[in-house]
Amino acid sequence: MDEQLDFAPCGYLSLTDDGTIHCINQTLLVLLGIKKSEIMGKHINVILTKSSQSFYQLYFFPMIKAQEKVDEMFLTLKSKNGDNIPVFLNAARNKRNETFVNDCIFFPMRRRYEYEQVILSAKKAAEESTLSKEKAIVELEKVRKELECKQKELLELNETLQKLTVTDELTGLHNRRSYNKVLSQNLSLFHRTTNPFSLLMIDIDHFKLVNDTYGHLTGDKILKELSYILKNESRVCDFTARYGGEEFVLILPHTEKEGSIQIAESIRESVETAIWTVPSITVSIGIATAINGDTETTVQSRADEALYISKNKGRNQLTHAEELKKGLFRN
Amino acid sequence: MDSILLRNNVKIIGEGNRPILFAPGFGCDQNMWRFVAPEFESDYQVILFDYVGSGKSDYDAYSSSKYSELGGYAQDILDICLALDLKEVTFIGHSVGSMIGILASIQKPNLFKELILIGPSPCYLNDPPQYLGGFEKEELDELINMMDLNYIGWANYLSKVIMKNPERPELSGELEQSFCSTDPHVAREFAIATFFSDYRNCLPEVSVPSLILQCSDDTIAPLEVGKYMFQHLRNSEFYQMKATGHCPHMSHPEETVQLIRKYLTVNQD
Repeated sequence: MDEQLDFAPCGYLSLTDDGTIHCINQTLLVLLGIKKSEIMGKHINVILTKSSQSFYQLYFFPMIKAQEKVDEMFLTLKSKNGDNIPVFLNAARNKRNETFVNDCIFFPMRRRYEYEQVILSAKKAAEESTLSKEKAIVELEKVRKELECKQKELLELNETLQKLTVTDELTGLHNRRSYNKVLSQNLSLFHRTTNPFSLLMIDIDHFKLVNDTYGHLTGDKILKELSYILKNESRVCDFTARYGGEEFVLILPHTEKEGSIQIAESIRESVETAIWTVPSITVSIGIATAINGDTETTVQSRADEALYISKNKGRNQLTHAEELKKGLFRN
Repeated sequence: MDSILLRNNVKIIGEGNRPILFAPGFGCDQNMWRFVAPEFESDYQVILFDYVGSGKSDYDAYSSSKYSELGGYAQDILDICLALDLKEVTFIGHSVGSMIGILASIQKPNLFKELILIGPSPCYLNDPPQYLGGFEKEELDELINMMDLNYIGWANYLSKVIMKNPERPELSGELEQSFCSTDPHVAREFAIATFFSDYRNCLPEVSVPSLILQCSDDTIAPLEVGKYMFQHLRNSEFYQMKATGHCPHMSHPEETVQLIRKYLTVNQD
């Protein structure tokens, strides 16, 4: 071996195919703390740790044989006094004097080994944390979905409750409670804008007689069918509610006397001419249009009074409260 | 049928009728057999394959639950035999490939004519005092750590990444050639399935005749392990080779071929 290779800044040895060391340089001998005479002709296993021996058999040998070279392999050498020396190994399969030899060079990589260990454990930690993160995300997603379901249920329940509180159960129209609220809203709006609204009080004629004659089930049917007509005859912006018993109310926003009379008349007529599945009925209607200084009570009692007049005058007709003011119907 | 042949990258060569199936050892693909398999082409139907997760197999077919034990790999051997309608199969397995063949033969003994086991081990861990597998747990842990440090399996992963970087074609080609390429995740699980397994209890269940080819100075499957196999396998023969190391089919192909041939001839009738 020439001196340059013997003292080159890397370990060098060459192996026969069966792993026997037949050439080794000084640099490697110094690294291993071993004498040349102690190692020549020995199997490479004597300078490898147990796992490196296995690794050598599992990977190094098949690779050098099949690919004729090994690049950047990491192994652990074992020095004479038992120290582990992590090394980087490159090898090439060369033919010299008609036989194949496997030339290997070794670089100790103590510092790099430490780095690699740190990197490896960081990689493992990262893998583990990714795994637990993924698990947590799955769990979180499950909880989120459950919450969403519960929220939906709650919303549906709320909606049902909301309907129950504002709806008349029998007719599906708004109930009196809802009516009181809407009447107040319309009044406030009127006081602010002076844009008047009208209020219709509708009462079924001789309803007590129907009930007594045909029974309450028929009475209920009449209430339902009338509600249907009221819904049909009112406009989208109008508010229709069952006031109680056989009494209904309509709030007509932005509607003056003339408009309210028109709507009331078309309701009255529809009821009279409707084809009923039950005994036919008629209605009497009282109308009031909001005036300055009106409260819920005043506007409603004017409509009530007008309704009373309609009844008195023989039913199946309508009366506007303004006509009361003129004293036309005062007794 | 095609899906199984693609899944395991099955290659069929040779002009004979009698099927001979070569199962590679740990960490390498069917190219391991390049010095041995061609010797049988003239009078056998030679079948080569890669394990799922190794070589040019279908990596998408890999599932941790199936392949966390060698039984998953044994099922694939049976799948291949069924897909090719093989009968009277001569099975030749190296290292862990031997154990995989043994497990397959226990399930379907009628499929196999004989098993030739090169450097087999039913259990790598020592279980003193009655059994010496050759390794302490720490030594196996260190071996797996060494695989990590050598980025075993990363070559394949890298070559996929580098495929997307066409400006470095030289590296891609080189990595693709690497015949030890396998997925890093798979390599680790295969290593654990192999080195931390214990199939000693299965040996008495084997009924197919077998030949154990034991290397000299084999760190991975030492002489005592080969003898243990011989004692516990019915109808087995044992031969200690002149070849040293763990890969006689690569280091001493002539001796390996000659011993296999001799056994096949004697076992012919």
